[in-house]
Amino acid sequence: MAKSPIETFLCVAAMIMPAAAFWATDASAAECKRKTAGFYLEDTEANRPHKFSSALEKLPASLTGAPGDPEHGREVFISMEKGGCATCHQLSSLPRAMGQGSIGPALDGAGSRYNEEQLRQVLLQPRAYFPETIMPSYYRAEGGDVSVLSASEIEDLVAYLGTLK
Amino acid sequence: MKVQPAAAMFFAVIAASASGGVEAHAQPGGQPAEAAAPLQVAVPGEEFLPAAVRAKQQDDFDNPAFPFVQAGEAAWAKAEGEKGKACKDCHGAPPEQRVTSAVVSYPSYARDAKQILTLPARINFCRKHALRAPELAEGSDQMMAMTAYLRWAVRGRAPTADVSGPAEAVLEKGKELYFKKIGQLQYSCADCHNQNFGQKFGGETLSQGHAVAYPVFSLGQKRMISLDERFRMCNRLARAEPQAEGSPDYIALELYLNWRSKDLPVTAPGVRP
Repeated sequence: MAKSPIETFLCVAAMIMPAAAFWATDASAAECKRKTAGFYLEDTEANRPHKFSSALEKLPASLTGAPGDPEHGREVFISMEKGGCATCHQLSSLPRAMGQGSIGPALDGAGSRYNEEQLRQVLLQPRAYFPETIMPSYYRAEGGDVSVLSASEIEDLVAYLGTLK
Repeated sequence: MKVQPAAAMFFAVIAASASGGVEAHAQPGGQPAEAAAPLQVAVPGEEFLPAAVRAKQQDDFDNPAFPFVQAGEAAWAKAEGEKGKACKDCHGAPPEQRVTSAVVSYPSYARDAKQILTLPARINFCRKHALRAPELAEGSDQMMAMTAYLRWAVRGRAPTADVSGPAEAVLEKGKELYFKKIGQLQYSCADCHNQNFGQKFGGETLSQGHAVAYPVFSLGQKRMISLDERFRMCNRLARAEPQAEGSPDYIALELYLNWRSKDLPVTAPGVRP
């Protein structure tokens, strides 16, 4: 039998009220969801860097002033001595034998979701976007042993990631 | 709007179990990760193994570490050193209860040695003073055999992890090290083994990092691995300097791991990929 609109509304409200009450006590639903999902941010539209970048410092420009080489960037991505990115990230265009990890989000299409500056910022300051991540910073201005990658390797990697459409 | 307590508790339990130790997260704003309680649920490493590897461990006839257990059993009965004595002459064969209780207590403070001893350190202490036999190197076949044998002999018992007296400071040190970020990649043990167990990392599934299966046979490296050697492998993964044999940091970490694993029983000798 048909319910009146008031009855329908009250019924739905009664069902979602406990859940809504829980989410609503936090500053925002997104903040709450982030905490309960643990450190791993879902790669959804709501969590894309462009939502965060307005709160951050100016996005870093090219470290070398020259465009990176995506082919060398692929080697940097794969090499365990360099980026070793597949340790934590899955990328289906790489051979399966590389033992791809599930700690970070899959990088298929990363070049479509993020622009060049954002990709560079994630490599330099992962915690700017994902505060509880264990992803290291891949470049430190001090260079030497402290910096995982050199400035040119970062640019090559950014160029490679940009090709992942 | 008030939170409904029941709903909040329900979500909290789900969230905690889903994130696998949510209490270990570093909060933005700098609250230290270790300020929170240890792992809520201790899950044995075997749960994270591929089925074939787990099966190998559970079948003594298939376990590649078992020849080491047998070699250790033979060495236990064999006279060695200037005194011409064997371990069994003082300790019985199979090892008496005093020995097995000691094995599950290591690392622990030894009054005679006046320091915290690990099992390999105790074996060498006995060899030096009681047998007058040369000490064994940590990774040597003989040491791996003796530790495999003695740890197999206490299989099924949980480490006792006595943290009173001098051991208390060592436990605190171990806890500090466990949550400390190290190396070029700035990983802490907790980053992987509290926050990310169950996830794939470089082709393998991360465990919670318990020590109860050690020493293990590594199928990939085709050799026995001591716990200290495993620490070195992890150091290298973080691109940090591995530490030398007998490192106090490793002793502290081992004690912390035994305390952290709570009632998990020893499953040594383990098999790992």
